[in-house]
Amino acid sequence: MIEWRSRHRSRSITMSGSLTIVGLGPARPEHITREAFELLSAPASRGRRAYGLAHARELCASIAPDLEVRSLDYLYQLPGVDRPTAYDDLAGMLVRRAFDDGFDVLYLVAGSPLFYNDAVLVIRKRCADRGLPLRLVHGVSFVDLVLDRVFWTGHQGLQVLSAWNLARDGMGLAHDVPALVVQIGEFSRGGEALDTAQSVDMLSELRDALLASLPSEHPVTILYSSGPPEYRSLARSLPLSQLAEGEVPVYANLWVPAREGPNIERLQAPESHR
Amino acid sequence: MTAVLPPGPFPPRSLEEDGAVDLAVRLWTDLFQPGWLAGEGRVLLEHRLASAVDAGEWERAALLQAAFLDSWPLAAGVESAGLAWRAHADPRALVIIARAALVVQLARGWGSLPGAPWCLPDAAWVRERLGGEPFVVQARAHNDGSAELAQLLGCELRGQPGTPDGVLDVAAQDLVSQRAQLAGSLSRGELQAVLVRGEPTPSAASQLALGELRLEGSHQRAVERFGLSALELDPSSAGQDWSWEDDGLLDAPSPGRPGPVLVACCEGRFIPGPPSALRAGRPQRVGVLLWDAPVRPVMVAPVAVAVANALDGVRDSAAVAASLGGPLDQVQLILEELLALGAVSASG
Repeated sequence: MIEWRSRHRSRSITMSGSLTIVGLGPARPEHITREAFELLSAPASRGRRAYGLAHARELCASIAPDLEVRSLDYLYQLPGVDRPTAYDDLAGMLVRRAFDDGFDVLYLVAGSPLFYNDAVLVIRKRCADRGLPLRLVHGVSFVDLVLDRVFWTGHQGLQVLSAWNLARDGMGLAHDVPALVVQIGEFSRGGEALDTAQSVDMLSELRDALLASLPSEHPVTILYSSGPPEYRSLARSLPLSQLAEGEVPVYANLWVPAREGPNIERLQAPESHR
Repeated sequence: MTAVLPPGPFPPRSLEEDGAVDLAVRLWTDLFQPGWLAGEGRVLLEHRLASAVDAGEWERAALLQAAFLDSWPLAAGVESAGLAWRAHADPRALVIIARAALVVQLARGWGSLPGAPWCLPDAAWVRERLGGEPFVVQARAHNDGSAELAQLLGCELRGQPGTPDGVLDVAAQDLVSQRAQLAGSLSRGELQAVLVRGEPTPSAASQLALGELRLEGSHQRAVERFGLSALELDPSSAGQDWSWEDDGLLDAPSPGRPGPVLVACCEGRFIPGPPSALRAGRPQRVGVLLWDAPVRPVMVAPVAVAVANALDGVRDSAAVAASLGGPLDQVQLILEELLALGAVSASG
C-alpha cells in the first residue's frame, strides 16, 4: 500500500529542503556576483522561499523583481527582544523552514555573509551542530569598497575591529599594524546606527581610546558612502584629535594607519572612476 | 420567530434573505452610505467632539475630530469602496470601509466585533430594526458577533460555527509551544491564518512566535486587522499593508484652473487643532479644507479658509481682499496656494 505524501510535499521526492545564504554585495546591483544573480533570477518555484532585511530586499528587487522576499525587519523592532535573541530566532526559523518544512530557503544578506553578520554566524553554527548542509553564496564585502579610498599595502597586515571593541570593550590596537575600525557611527551594542546625531558620542569615546596610544596629530580617514543610488566611496582625512567634531554617516568606518607604517598608508587615495 | 443574523461577517457580500433581519446588510444600507456619513453621522460626531472638548477629554476629542474630518472623504468614497470590495475584494476598499466602521462606532458610541474592526450595534438600534417581532439570534460564522448580540439582547443564540477552512483558533498561552507546527502549516499554505484567542503575553518568546506567524501566513496580518472577512483577499494582496494614512488610498485633488474670478471647490471650516495641540489640551483655531470627494482633508492657516470662503464666483481677488480688509498681495499669494491645492478654481 502506497502512502501518498501530503499536498505540500508533492513538489519534490526528497523530504528535505535546502538553505542558502546569499551575499548581495555592499550596495549596487552591479556588485552582485553572477552566482547570486543566477540564483535569484531562477524561475519561481513553489518550494522556494526568500527572506531578507530592507536593504537586501531593495537590492533584490532591482535584479529579480518577481522574487517575493519576506521581510524580517520585524525581528529588529520587537520591544524587549535584543539582537542576540533576534539572531537566534531568525536562525531557528530558517533552519526549520528548510529542513523541517522542506522549502528551498534563500536568506539574502547585504555585503558578504561572512563579515560582521551575527545572524549568519548563528545559522552556520546551528547547521554545523546538526550536520545540515548549508550553501554560502559569497558577496563583495563592504571592506572592498572602503579600502578603495586608502592605500593599504598589506605589508604589515591589517586589523579589523569595531568602534565598540575599542571604545567600550577595552580592546586595544597594535599600533605597528594599520587598522580598519568599522561601525563607528553605531551607538549601541545592538548595532543601531540610524541616528547619526548619536554618532558623536561614540566618536568621542573612540578618539579618547585611540589618543591613549597615538599622538593627537595622527592622521585618520573616515570612510563612508555617498548613499543611493551611486554608493560612491568617500573619504575625509583629519587629525585624530578632530575625530569627534562632527557626525558621521550611518555605516561609516575609520582608517587608522600604523604609527610607523609605510607613508603611503597615511594618504587618502583619490576617488576611483567607474 | 424572526431570525436575526449578526453584524459579522462584514462588509456583507450578499442581500438580506427573506424572513431574516441581517444586521450586516442593515448596517451597510443604513449607515455606510454617503447620506448618513455626511448627514446624521457628521452631526453626531460634531456633538460628541464638542462634549469631549468641554469635558477636557483631549485624546478622545482628537479621535473624534479625525473621524469628523474623515466623514468627508468617506461619504464620497464609501459606495465605490463597497462596490470594489464586492466585485474583487480590493484590499484598499477594505481599509476604507474599516475606517468608515470606526467613524460609525465613534458617532454612535458603539463597540466593535471580537477580533475585527466592524460595528457591534447597541440593543436599541437592533430592536428598532426588529419592530417588536419575537426573534432569535442565528450565528453564521466564527466571531460574527452573534454571541455578543444575543447577550446584548438577552435572547436565544442558535448555532456555533467553528473556524472556516484554513484558519485555526489557538489560545494565546499555546502560541509558543505550538509555534513550529503552526508556522510550518502557514508556510505550506495548509493554513491561511491563525486566530489567537486571548492576549499573547509580552514575553520575547510570545512576540517572536506571533512574528513568525505573520511572516508565514498569507492572510495572518490581514485577518488580525480585519477579521475573517480578510480571507476573501487574494493571497497576493492580503500581504499589502494598506493603511488609512497611505497616500495612494485616496485621490489627490487636481490643481485648480487659474482665472480672474475664482470659486471654492471645497468647504472651509475652522476647527480646534492642530491634532497634536488638541491631544495635548492646547488647541488653537486652525483651518481645514474639506472636499466632497475621496480626498484627504488639508489643514491650513485660518486666513486661507477665510479667503476661500470669501470667494463667491463674482468678485475678483482685489474685491475679495477689500471685503476681508487684507492686503491684495497676501490674498493673491494665498489664492495661488489654494489653486495649487485644488481648493479653488476659475469660476464658470
